[in-house]
Amino acid sequence: MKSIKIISGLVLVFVLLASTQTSICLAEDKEDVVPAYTPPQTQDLTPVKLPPIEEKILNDGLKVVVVEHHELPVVSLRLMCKAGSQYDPAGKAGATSFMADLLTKGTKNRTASEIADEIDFIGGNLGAGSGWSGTYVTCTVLKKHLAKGLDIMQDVVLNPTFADDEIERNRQSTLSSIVNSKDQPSSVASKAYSEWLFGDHPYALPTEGTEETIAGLTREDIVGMYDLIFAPNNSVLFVVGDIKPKEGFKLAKEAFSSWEKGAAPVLSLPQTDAPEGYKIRLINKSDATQAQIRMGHLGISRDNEDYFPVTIMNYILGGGGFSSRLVKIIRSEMGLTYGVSSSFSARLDQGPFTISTFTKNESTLDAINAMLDVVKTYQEEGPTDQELQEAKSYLTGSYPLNFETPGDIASQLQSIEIYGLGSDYIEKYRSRIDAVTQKDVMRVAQEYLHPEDMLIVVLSNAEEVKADLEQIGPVEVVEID
Amino acid sequence: MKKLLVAALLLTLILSIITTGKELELEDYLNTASKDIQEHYLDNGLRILTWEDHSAPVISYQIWFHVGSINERPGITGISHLFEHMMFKGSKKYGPEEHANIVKAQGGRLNAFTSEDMTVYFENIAADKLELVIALEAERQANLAITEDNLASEREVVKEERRVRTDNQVFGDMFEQLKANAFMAHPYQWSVVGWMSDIEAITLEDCQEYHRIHYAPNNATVVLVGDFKTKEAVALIEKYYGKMPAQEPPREVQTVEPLQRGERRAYVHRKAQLPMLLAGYHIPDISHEDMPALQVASSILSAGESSRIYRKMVYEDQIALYAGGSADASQDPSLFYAYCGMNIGHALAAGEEALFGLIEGLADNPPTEEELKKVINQAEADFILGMQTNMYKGYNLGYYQTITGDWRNMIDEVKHLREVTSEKLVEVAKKYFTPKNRTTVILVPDEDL
Repeated sequence: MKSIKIISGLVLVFVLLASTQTSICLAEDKEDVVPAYTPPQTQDLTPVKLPPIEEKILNDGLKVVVVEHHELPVVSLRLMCKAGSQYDPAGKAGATSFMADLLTKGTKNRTASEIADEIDFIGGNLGAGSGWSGTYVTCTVLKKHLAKGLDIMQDVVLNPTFADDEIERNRQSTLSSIVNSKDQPSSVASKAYSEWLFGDHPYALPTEGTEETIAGLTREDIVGMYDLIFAPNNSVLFVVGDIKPKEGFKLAKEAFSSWEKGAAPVLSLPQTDAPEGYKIRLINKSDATQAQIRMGHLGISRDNEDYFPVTIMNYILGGGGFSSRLVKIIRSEMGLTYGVSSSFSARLDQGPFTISTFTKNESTLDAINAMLDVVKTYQEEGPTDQELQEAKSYLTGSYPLNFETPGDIASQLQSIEIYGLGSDYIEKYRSRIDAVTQKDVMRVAQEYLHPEDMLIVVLSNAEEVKADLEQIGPVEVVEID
Repeated sequence: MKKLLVAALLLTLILSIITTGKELELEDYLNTASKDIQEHYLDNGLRILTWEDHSAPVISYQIWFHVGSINERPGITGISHLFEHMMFKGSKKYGPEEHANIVKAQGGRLNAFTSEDMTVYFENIAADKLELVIALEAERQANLAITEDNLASEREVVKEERRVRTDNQVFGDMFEQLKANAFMAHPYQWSVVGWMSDIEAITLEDCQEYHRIHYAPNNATVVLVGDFKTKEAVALIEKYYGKMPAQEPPREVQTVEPLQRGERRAYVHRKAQLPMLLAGYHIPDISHEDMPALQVASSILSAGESSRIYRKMVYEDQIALYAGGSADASQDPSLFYAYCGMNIGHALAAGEEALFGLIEGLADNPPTEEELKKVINQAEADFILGMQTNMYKGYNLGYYQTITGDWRNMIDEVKHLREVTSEKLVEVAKKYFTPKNRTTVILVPDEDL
């Protein structure tokens, strides 16, 4: 309860960094109460040490991965099907996510309320959901409740009923949730940007769907998604925590022995055209005092061979928070925003490259121009030696922090499974980062950044910003819902 | 089929007992923890809490200053948070943002946060960088560069932060209104980010004085969790913090919120899609004997989908998109929050009636044995799950130390929850969950704005 208080009650501050070259001298030059310290510059490139991991493929094709982590009496179970919301059929955005919501809402053996009662009674967490590339059911329980947790979990995976009243209930809450999110300026701007950038591609619409598509979903659509996605031979079960491999395999085998094999789904996705020149879409929200800005173009897919150089290139541009150029200039030097970042969202298919920020209405044009300048200058000059070195030391040095809890470890292994990154991925990560050269970063900055061809979405008070935006390019104004 | 399942289940249960032997119980964990956690003091009053955990070669280094918006006054509201930003703007030995750049270039992650009762800075980093983070934190605490330039740029950044979190955010706005209406005397009446006009008006002198008093070693606790040896770590902390002078203690917060003698209602007209309501009942501080019962009430009402509010309002009647209630455990008497956001087509009046009915009706519908047992199970699991990272272990220690004055209260939390009886719960429900003690803020979606 205290940790909930800590998270919710506070103003969490991402104190991003500025850099100025001037060093500060205090007026009085009295004896310093704090001794100076110069850290040795070390870079640890040895592979991250992982706890014992064992895997086994069961007869029905289900891969089970057991990770031993005995620090606390907790076991996390995560079932991942290697197909997610990008399988939503055209016109049925949100179908996968809707189906996942319903898994915990009734089985052949338990009603929705019984599921909630049973999992809450043991203080466990049970959840289901989907991302673009995968669908998940997770269950975390204290070790002493593992048998109960696993029983509930296998039931929701194998026996969901998708009852009509539950479908209507979920439709109602999903629709309300979509409507409610229109009050979040940041969410409206992000959704508008994806929709514009991706056109007919599934990535255009949010994984939770839209009012239109959710209204039109039928029970057949939902059952169809379940049949398509849930098959043992397309899934991996991670069992992580206070458990031995032998016990983990045995429990998994018993729980999922009745699961029948299915055909692995096949995906075909439309091509997306890259934007040319600047195109601006201004979403008018007349009571806004601050503009939400999203700009960018298409990025890379996860299997791109330049993934590592692009990661470093983007860290220096706007992925590195405190240390990135966008934050240094737009926040720390110009004071135009509280947060600014750039990202390449690398998915199974080509994801977006996005620069995001927000600023008071009157500085919208200044912020956009300044961000474009940062990208152009970076593309021309490339990174400095120091920037490259710092990016590499951060990415290699902080890598072990991604493996602290059983859940952290499972989510790293999950990505390796979904994107087929190879069993030596964790072992080689640090040396792959370290191998990136300045030339590589220069090259990928040329290849994957297009500061002259961007879509720009601005949510703001149109009256106050439209004329300014027209200095950049043609502006199309749309009213917020 | 079902019989087979039960048999299989029993078998796995038996097997798991055989293969794992004795389960680690919460009591064992707590006993070990209370022995592992150590407390040291420097002569200048700096408190040091250490908790060794050698399971991975990483540490979380945290410094907790006992200052937050509770220590502010009208005219400088928001200074605690603005000051937190200033702490990243350089010191005698380093330029603006260099502290953070150095930590990141050494593979560390860092951040800070401010609340009503505390301001906290932390670094999560490889264990061999311990001396570096000690030196850096001590440096900015002792030698901060509080300059006009730094203040001018961070002031603008903080104004943008206020715009994004409060002014352009329905929930942020509602929350600010609730506090402003529920508290007429106590400093909890303003939000942590502060009023816009105060953020604009805070002076350099305000910042300097604030820093001198509130960032003195005798007003701070270092919390260190992870892979280190306590003796060596304390010696290093002494080396870098030892010469910092103590200051006179900060003025205690004297203001006591007077008794509320009737419901207060406030309306917020905004462009919004769906109506919502946020309310607060006055409750005592974290150390008060009624708090465990209020925490239990909070779980019965809204922890999980089997909780009373969720089941009735979200699941069965389907009138709300979300709804719940939770006790805010703070240094001074705070609020029990209650909230609901309506589904499309449902009027707020129905939500208000249902929500207040469930909360205020708790006294007439005491918890069943099963509900109480569930809450204890949830508390045990939450406690254990809250101890998975060095950072959260440190948070729990620092939180209890800073606002209750003793980290040992963290160890006793679950014990106190276990002692809550149905009778005690009815007693506190009658005492606090009354319309007279309630402040209600209502969002009115207004198309004409």
